[in-house]
Amino acid sequence: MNPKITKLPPIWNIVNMVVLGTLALVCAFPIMHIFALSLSSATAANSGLVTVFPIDFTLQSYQFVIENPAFVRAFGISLMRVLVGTPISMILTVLVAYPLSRNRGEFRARDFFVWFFLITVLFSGGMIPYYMVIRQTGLIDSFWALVIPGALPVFNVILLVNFFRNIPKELEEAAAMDGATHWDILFRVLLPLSLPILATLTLFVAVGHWNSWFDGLLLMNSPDKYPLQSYLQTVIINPDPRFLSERDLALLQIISNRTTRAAQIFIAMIPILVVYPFLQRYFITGLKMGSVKG
Amino acid sequence: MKYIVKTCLILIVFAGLLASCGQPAPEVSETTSTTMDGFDTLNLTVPDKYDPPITMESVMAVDATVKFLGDNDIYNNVWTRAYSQLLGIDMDYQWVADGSMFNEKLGLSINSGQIPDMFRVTPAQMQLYYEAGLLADLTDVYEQEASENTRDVLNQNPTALKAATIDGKLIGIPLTDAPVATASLLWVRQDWMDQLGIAAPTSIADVMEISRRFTEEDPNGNGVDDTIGLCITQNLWGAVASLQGFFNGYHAYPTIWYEKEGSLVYGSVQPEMREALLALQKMYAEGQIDQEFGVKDINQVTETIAQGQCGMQFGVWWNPYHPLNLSQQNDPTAFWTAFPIPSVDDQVAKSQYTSNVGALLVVRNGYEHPEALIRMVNFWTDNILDSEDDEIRRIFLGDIEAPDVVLYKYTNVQLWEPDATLIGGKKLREALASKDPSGLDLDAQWRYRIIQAYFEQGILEAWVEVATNGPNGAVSILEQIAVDRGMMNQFYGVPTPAMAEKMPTLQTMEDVMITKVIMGDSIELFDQFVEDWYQLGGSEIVEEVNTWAEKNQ
Repeated sequence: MNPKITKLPPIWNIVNMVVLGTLALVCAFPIMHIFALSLSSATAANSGLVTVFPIDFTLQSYQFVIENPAFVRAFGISLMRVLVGTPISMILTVLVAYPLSRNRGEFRARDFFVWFFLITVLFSGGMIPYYMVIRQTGLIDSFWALVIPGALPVFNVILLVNFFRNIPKELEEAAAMDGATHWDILFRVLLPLSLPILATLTLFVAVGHWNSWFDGLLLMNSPDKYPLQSYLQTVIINPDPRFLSERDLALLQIISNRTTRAAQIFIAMIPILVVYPFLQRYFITGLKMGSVKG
Repeated sequence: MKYIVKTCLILIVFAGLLASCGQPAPEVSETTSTTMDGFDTLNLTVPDKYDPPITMESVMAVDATVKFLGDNDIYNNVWTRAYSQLLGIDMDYQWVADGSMFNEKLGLSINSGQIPDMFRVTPAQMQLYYEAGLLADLTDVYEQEASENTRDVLNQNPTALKAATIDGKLIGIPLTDAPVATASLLWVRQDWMDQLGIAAPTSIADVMEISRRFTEEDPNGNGVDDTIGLCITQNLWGAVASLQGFFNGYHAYPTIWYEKEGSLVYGSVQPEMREALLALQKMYAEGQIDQEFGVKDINQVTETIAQGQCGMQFGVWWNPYHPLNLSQQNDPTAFWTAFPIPSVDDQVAKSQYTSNVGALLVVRNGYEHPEALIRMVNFWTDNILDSEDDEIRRIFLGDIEAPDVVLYKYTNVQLWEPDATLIGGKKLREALASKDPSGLDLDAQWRYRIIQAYFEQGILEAWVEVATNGPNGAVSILEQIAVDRGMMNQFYGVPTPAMAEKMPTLQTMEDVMITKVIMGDSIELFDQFVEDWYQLGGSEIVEEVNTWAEKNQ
C-alpha cells in the first residue's frame, strides 16, 4: 500500500524477514518446548533431552491430567469465571462509558464521574484493605469474589468512551430527531457501530479472567475452589532447597514431574489459543480507533 | 417507562445471580461424621473429654500430596472425627490454603483482624504476633496438662522449648523434628568410583581428586565431555546440592552461629571461609562445577543428576529417595554412597546442622480453652508417635496398602521425635546384621525386605534404601554426627530485632559474594564482604546474639 516500502532495496526485505522471523521463533519456542515435553516420556523429560520434538511419544501425561479431579475442577471454575465474568464486565463497561462520552452540556456531573472512576486507576487501597472489603461484604470464599471486584475495568471504559466520541455526532442527532432516547442511541446506534472495540474489550476481559491467579489464592478459603491459574501456580513452584525436609519428599517428586506440569500448562493455554484468532482481526482496528481522538 | 423496566430487569438478573450463587454450600459433615472409624476398639490413652464439646477455629495448609479416602475431606476426616469424638474438640477450619501461600494468607487474615484460635507460625511470626499481644501464654496450661510423653518428646531436643519461650513465657508448642537430619553428607556416584578404581574419599584432597577425575575421565562413558565433579544450585545452601558440607570440610560453618574463643560468632564471616572459597574457585575454573550454576535451581540440578552428568554433591540423608534415585533412569547401575564430610587437615570435619524449630503451634490470646492444644499434643504423643500398635498406625497415620494417602497431614498437631530416624535406623541395621526382622515394626520390616532384595535378588532399584538405612548407610553417618561429628547452630532463639531487620539483606550480600568469587572474582571480595557485613548491622546482630546467649545458657 505504501509505495515507500516497495521501493526499499530487496536486501531490507530479507533483513526484515530474518529479524521478524527470529522474533516469532523466540516467541513460539517456549510453547513448542512445553508441548513437546507434555508428549514425551517422563524419563526423557526429566533428563532434559526434549527440545522442540517429543521423545518417546506418549499421551500418558494428558491422561493423568484429565483424570486429575483437581485440574478438571479448576478448569471448570475458570471457564465459569470467563463465561459469567465477561458479560457482566462488558455490560457495566458499556453502561458507564455511554454517559461519560456525553459532553458537559448533556451531562453536567460528567467531570465528577470521570474523576470518580479515574481515581481508582491511579490509587488502590492495597492488599489488606482489599481483602477486608471482600470479607466484610461476604464475598470471600465464593465464586463471586473472582467476578465482582474487578467487574468494571476502568481502562476499558476509557477506550470505549474515546471510541464513542469518534462516532459522528450527526448520527446521534438524527436518531434523536426521530425520537430516539438515550437507550435507543446507545443500543441501536452506537453499539452496532462499535463492534471492533467491543470485540477487543471482550478479549481483554476474557483473557484477564482466564489468566488471573492471585485473587484465587487470596480470596478462596480452600484449594478446591481455586481457578485454573491459581491451581497451576501451586503445581509449578520451584522449591527452595533451604526449607526442604524429608517430609517434603512426596511433594518434590510431584513437582519434578515435568511432563504432567507441561501437559497442564498446555491445556490451560488451549482456550485462549482457540479464541484469539477469531477476535484478533478486530483487535487492531479496535485499539487504534479507540486511541486516536479527532 | 420502558427503560425503567429494562434497568430493573438488569438489576433483578444481577441480584438473582448473586443470591443464588453466593450462598455457602450446604454442610456435609453432619451426614458423614457418623462414619465408623472404630475408635472404641483401639487401645487409646485419651485426655479428659470436653463436655459439652468446644469449638476450635483453626487454619490449615495442604499441598498436592494431601489425598483423601472416599468422601473424606480436610473438614471431615479421621483426625477431625477423633478430636471431636474422643477429645470433645470440634475443629473449624476458617480457611485452607496451599502450602506455598499459607504464610501470606495467615498474615492477611490476622492483619484484617481474623485470628484463628489455634494456628501454626514460624518463629519470626510468633515473635511478631506475641509483641502485638495476640498470643496466649501457655506456661501454666503446659505445666498442668502436658503428659509424660509430651514432655519427653519436647525435651529430647533441649533447644526446642527455649525456642518457643519469649520473656520467660512459653508461647508456642514447637513442632519438633530431627535437627541432625539437616546435616550435609558427601554423596558420590559409587559406580563411577568403582569403574575408575577410586578409593573412598577420606580427605578434601581426595574430594578434589575425585572431582577432577569425574570431570576429565568421562565416567558415564558416552564419549562426550559432559560430566561435572560437584553439583551446586543457585541457592548455595540447603538439602540438595548445597555448599555447606564443602565448607565444613575446611572447618568453616557458613550461615550458622557457633562458639569460638568464648563467644558466639557468625560462621560466614570467619577466616576459614577463605580457603574453601579459593578451592571452589579453582574447581570452577577447571570446569568441575557447572559453569552456569548461578542460574540453576533445584529442578535443573535434578535434571543434571538424572542425565548422569553429576558425580558428587553435598546433601542430606534422604537424597536417594529424591533426586538421586533419578540417575537410574538413564543408567540402571547408578548408585550413590554417602560419606562423612572429609576434612582438609588431620582434624575431624564436623557437619553443621541447625536445631532451629521451623514451626510452632500457638493459641490466640483470649481463647477460652488454651489447654485444648496441649490435649491434642498429648493425644498425638501418647497414642500415635512411637506406637507399636499396627491398627492405630493404620487408622491415624496411613495404610501401607495406600501409601500415597498420608493421614497425619490432616492435622496441624504433628510432632516428631528428634531421635526417631536414628533409633529406627539402628534397629534396622541390627536386624540386618543378625538377619532377624522379628523385632521391627511394619514400616521397618518393609525396609528390611527391600534391602534384602538388593543383596539377595540383585534388585538394583533397592539401592535407595541400602544407601540410606543399609549398613554404613547415610543414617549410620548421621549417628556419628549426632555423637561427635556435628556442629549445631548455637543460636536457636526467636530472631533478634536487628536480625529480623538486617539479616535478609546480609544473607543476599553473602550469597552474591560467594557466587561471584566462585565464578572467578578476586578473593578480596570476601574480605570486603566481611568488613561490610559488620558495618551494615552485623556487629549489632553479634552483640544481640551474645546477650541472648548469656541469658539462655
